[in-house]
Amino acid sequence: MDDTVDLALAGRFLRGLAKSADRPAVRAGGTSLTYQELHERALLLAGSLLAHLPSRPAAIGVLAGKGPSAYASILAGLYTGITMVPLQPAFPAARTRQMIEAAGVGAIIADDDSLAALTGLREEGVDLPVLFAPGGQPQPAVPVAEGSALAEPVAVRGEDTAYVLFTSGSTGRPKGVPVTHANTHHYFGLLDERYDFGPEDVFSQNFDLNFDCAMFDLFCAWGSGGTLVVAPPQAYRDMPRFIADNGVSVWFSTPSAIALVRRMGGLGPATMPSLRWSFFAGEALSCQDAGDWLAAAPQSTLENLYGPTELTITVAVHRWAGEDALNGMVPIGSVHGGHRALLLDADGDESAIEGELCIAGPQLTAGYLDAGDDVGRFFDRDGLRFYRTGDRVRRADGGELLYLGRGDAQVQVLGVRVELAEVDAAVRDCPGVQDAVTVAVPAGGSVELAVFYTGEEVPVAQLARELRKVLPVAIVPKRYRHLAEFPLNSNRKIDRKQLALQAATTSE
Amino acid sequence: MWDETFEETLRGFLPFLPPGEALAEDTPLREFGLDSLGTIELLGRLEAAYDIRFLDDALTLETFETPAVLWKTVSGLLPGVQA
Repeated sequence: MDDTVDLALAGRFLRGLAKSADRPAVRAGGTSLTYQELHERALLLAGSLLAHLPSRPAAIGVLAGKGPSAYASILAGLYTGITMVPLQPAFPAARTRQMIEAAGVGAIIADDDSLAALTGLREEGVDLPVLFAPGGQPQPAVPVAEGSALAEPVAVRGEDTAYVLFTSGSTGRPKGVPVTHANTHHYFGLLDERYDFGPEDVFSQNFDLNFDCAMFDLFCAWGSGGTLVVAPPQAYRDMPRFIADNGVSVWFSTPSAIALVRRMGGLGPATMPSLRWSFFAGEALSCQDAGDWLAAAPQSTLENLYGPTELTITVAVHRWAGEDALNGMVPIGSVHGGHRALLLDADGDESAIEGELCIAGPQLTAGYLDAGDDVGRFFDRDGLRFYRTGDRVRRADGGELLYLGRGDAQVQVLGVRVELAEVDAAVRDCPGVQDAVTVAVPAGGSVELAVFYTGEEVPVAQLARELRKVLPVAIVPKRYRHLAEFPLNSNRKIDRKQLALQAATTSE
Repeated sequence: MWDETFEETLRGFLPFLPPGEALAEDTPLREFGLDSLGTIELLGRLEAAYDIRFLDDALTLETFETPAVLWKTVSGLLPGVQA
């Protein structure tokens, strides 16, 4: 059955283990764990959980922040051979409960910093076996049993789901995206050919573990036997120092991080000379930001990575070396090998030049957890199943794709994908509010959300407090404006364009 | 009580505090919109404004809980001022 291990996402860790057993696999919060230590810990946690469960659940949740124990927890989740659902301890318990139920999570591995999250889940009515090594949490406890460690990770098949991640849904509830081991196998196979990562490399770990770009961080680092270094928020105070102190050679973040490093005074000439590679994903990257970053990291090759969760982490890439581009934005570039891309115009016809980007190929998810979410997002053509990304692009002469914008009401706030309708729904549920419209306003190189609402006027802090109970803090709007009634357009519909304009012109 | 620079700098990171509303000693900063990235930027602004350097130990959630606690930390770093 050895050929199955090669396909498994966790197999990439085993590859790093073979190269770098006694070297650090991850450094976080002042703690360093070698590949051997992390491997043994994950075998122990996975074995303890499996030994305790009477039957195999549909999925295992992994509550993982960014402390040292988060990484063993994620790896243990994969080692069980069962679908893993990364859960964010900082998310509202009500939202995490929705994810648990939607994915059929039957047990949880919780990292050592998850006590508050577990308490919150209990108050939300979640009652599942939980492996929490420090003990003393309110859910039914799964003990860490020294004798139960697995001898090796449980084998998987390519069609098995490696992980389920959730993205914002316009219906007001998050959409689950299952990604298989075959999906990730194709993805990382391409990356192995494209990059020269090795055991000497030190990878930044900026992305939260419930965000698929974190899979790039973990499994590029571990697949090469390199070291993952977790950047805490305070590292942004002096990022060049953090990068130098840790010898970071591979950087990956959202473009918003560039603006933040700049505001903190970190973007001078060659302030980050140790970087060999710089990657950005999660939102549109401007040539201005990319250029400033390259001046600060002149030894690095810079790439803009593009891709929705449905297409496994990233599915297009452009290597940027300072050239001008349409609208001053770095292109999305070329779609990964093995895929087919087509552009649909407003009438649904294929266009050679411009339209909505649709992609078919081996990185595409088979469909959302809830088949009801598939409606309108997938279609079949020429015997292939295509996903409609919702992103409008133009094909340049050389075939490279240029990003134009969204065709719908989805936005990226600091790299977090948000359906504005989901925020509307959450605001409408706040006491006193009658109706709500959320708009995105450009701010500091990214966007921020502004809400217009009708009904009673509610103190802003109170609205924000209500919203934090159901929305991740990153997508809680920053601005609120009470209106007696919404402006209407000529079709007697709420004039969202007018509201967006109003929000943009009243910004600071 | 804090000075005007502190008040102005801090208010810039509290989107949910209405302009007319006073900043109290015990205003819960998180409730009024100070998030984790805002914390880091605020720190940078205060360091620049007062020419001080926070110790890494001061970078905790507690330090940024209320204006009073934060001002105590800032003023404790100023030369010749007793917090």
